[in-house]
Amino acid sequence: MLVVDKINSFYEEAHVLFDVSLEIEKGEVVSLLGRNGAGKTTTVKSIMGMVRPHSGSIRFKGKEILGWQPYLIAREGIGLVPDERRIFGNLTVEKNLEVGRRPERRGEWTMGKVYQHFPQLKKLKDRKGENLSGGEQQMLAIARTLLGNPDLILMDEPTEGLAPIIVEEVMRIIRELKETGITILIIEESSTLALSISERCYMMDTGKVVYSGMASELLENPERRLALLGM
Amino acid sequence: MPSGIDFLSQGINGIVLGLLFSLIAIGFTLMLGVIGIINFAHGVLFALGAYFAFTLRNSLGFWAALIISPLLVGLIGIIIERLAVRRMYGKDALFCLLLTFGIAMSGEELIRMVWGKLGHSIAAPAFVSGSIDLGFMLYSKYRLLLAVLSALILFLVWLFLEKTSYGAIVKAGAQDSEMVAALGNNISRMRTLVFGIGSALAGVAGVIAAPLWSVRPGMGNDAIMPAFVIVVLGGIGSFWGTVIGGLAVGLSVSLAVMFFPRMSDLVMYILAAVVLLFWPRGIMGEKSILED
Repeated sequence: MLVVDKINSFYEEAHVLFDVSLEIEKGEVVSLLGRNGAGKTTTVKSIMGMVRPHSGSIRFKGKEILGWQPYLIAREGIGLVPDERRIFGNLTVEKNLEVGRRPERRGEWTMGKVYQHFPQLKKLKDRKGENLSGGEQQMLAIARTLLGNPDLILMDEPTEGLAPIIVEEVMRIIRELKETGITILIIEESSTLALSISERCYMMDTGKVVYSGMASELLENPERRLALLGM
Repeated sequence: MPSGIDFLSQGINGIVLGLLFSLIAIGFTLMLGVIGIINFAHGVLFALGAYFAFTLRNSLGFWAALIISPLLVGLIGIIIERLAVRRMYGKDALFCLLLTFGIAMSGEELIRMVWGKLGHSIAAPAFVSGSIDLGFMLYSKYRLLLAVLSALILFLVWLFLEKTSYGAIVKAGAQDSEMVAALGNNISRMRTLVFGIGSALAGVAGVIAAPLWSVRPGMGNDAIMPAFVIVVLGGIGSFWGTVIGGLAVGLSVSLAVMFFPRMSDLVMYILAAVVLLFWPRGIMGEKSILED
């Protein structure tokens, strides 16, 4: 579904991604792990068109999307649940969801289904985004992206800064999404939870992919995992 | 000492003027809040609205001019955004300031070339000429119409921003346009549209203000300075801040006329300075696009 091939990305003059390659098959859940500053978020932004790689190739459903504008990439079917959630604080929950709605991308996710799936959001629909708890904001960020009926969701640190009980709730939702057959790339610093729901995993360090393989391998070998993370 | 009736009539004048000021400022603050640019050409767009109405009213009448002039000004706004302003996005705000300042100056010269250097007064349309008896005083019918139209158009802007899906995208874009784009919304088109709407709002304010202030090539300055003060007072990009700021400026100007007529032009700047001492982001201001 997604093939990232040897991309090199820069922030201003700083070279931050070095020949990063990764692949995601349809229906897979893949995790991308690494320390802070390893280049995970830059990889996500490069896929989404928010950072433009200087070289390499990004193919999505067979189309070269490198160089496309972010809104066209989103309309093609890549959904982003961003780092730090980026809820529109000045809008109500319902309006936040409306911004994510893409009627032209027909699919199963409608306002009705989202509210059925996230009953809490229905209760809070008239509350402003800035007045939600971190967990509620994370649900909203996921729901907002689902309303675009994406084929692939990029989730950048979906459990960051959340209380353990909320983390479990988020993981439960991701598991449910996985069962519906949606393709997901989860970005986390180093999470057993992320590995436990992924089939495969990539690890990054200082802008390079340093490991790719089965998630179970790293799950069973925590020492290897820490070594790869450079900890 | 002014009497109670004087206070009341100047108070009503202040509210009427305040609604017009709010209408002038709403397009300006929309562009500033959503696109993040200070549009110095807002005043000349206001003047164009008035001049188009001046030309169109003789043949088409007041209502047709009220609709067509703002549409023309909106179209000019869209052309300005497409050809020039959009090249400044993402660059230092000073570039856009200089660019729109240049557009404002050449626009004013263009008005002089087309319509002449002298001002023209425009009569209020016949159906609202003269005064109405409010019981305690006579009041200009046109000023009442002006207040009703300004309030109505402000209400339409509010409906658009608060009740439509596209309004939600516009408001979200004011906060985090990159995220709005990542959700599949065409930000570039939205900016063009907002620039067009903001220009059309300047234009419609010009049409409405023309019978009150008469048309002159430099009339844009009468619009841009209050718009600036109101946005500073009310808070960047805030709808209610703009309405409150507009009313505050209208009332303070009208009431100052009673006590210190020569101070009336100065009083809004003093008001803005005092408000800023206590609310640096304006009365309703929140962290804006300019602070990143």
